[in-house]
Amino acid sequence: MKDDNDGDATLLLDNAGKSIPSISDSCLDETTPFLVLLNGFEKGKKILVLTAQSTLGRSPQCIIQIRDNRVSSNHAELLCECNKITIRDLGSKNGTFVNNRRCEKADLTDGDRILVGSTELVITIPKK
Amino acid sequence: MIRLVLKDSEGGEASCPVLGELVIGRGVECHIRLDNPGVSRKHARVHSENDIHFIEDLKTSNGTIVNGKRIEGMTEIRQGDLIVLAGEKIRVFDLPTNKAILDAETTHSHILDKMPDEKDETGDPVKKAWQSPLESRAALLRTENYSVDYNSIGELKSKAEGKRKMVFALATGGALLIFATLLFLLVKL
Repeated sequence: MKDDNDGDATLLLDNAGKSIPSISDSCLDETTPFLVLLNGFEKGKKILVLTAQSTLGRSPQCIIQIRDNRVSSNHAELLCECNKITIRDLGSKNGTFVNNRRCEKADLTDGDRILVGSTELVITIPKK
Repeated sequence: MIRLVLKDSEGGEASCPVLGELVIGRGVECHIRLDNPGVSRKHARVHSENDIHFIEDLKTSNGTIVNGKRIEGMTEIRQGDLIVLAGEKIRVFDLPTNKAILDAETTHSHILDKMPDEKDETGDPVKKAWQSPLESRAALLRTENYSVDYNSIGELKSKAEGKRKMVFALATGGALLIFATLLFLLVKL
């Protein structure tokens, strides 16, 4: 089938002829940074950050969508580079606060609290 | 437009709208990065044409599975479809994501128990709002009216009070002035 021309170093190549891969468990739990909403309508929601550039805002086009009227449609963006996460304000009306300090751009560390509109989020960045 | 929604075993969720083209894989250059050794560096490509959405396996060894079938070539995906890339399950949702919200409500309610208990103005724990869509709507309205810390309610209240007092003082002063003038005229005549 397609298996011979695969350049990627994936595991379980001896299983390649079969249609169902034997890897069946998600591996995202320990390595993926995530946000947890601390208040509002979706309180407690855990949002995984899987994209290198994640827009955050009220609009459904945003990768991280936050249902809060005080959040601008394109409020901020999260940039992930080699497990270093930066938040950047995209000219939002009500501003982006990191640990109660308003900022245009800030590097995030594990446990930082982000306030956008009336919604507070806490970020967890697992160490690799 | 569709949205790809991915969940981990602890109820965490990642979602990404499909705007044009999107590559899923383990490599850093991918739009959606899945850090799973079974996922190829560039695993699958999702793209939209005239509101029809396709997924394509990028010749990977573990393959891409849509609704239980390993796909070959381009395959159309729709609302409710399940895509599996080496154990990572991705659901397809139509935008707006009302269904995703309802789904999220049921999946995430268990996390709420672990969260520090926060109470809203009425004193009810916020997690009660998740019990039914109507109640959650009410909770949403409540959060919309909810004032934020840096616009403290007290300050606003005292401002409004000050304004009211000033208007009252001005009105009383005006009335007294008119009354005095009338009295003065009456005495003179």
